[in-house]
Amino acid sequence: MINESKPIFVKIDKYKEIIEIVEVINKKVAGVKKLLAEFEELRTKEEEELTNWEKNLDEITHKIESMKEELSSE
Amino acid sequence: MAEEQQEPQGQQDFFVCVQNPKNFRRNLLESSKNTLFILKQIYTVKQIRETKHEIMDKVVDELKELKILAQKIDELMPQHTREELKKLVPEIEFKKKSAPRKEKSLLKEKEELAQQIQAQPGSDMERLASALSDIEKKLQNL
Repeated sequence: MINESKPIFVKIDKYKEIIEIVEVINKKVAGVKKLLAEFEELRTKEEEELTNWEKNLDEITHKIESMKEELSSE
Repeated sequence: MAEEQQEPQGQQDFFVCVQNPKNFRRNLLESSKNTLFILKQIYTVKQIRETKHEIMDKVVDELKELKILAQKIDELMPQHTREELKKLVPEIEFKKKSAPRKEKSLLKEKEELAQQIQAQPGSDMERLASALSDIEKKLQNL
């Protein structure tokens, strides 16, 4: 463990390789961010669908209830 | 004979007056419509979940590749032992090691660690957690 951060020297060929890898990493991170945004969008859509699902179920319950009332009224 | 057979059936017939048949029919049709909507929504949600799963798989693959790339950078960075560093940069100072712990406590720790490793099934989640704690230790040692 070094007490304080000191500069280090990297051979040029390795340096270039490192820079290339860093660029690939940057591109991959951007790709992952895009995928996560897509995921978030889908999650919102799923929530919307589930809310509508619940709404439709409520409507069915309401309608069935009124049909039942209609049948049982004299 | 035939009349006798029909009679009990006729006794079972029961007529109910529907005051508003139009409304009743509307409710029935709308209920069917809503049921179909729900079935459609179930299908959509299924598709969404499949797509989400595909995205998650892609993210996992990308993260695995990112891990390999980070390791590659680590390998490409110069690696030196303390002695080599001392030779290269004589003015460099190293942190002093903390006071040596008692042997007994070290043994205890080793046993506990061995027990923990035995108890852990080798799931991905656990391997990730141990890799994460390794990195955290490395970061603390920086």
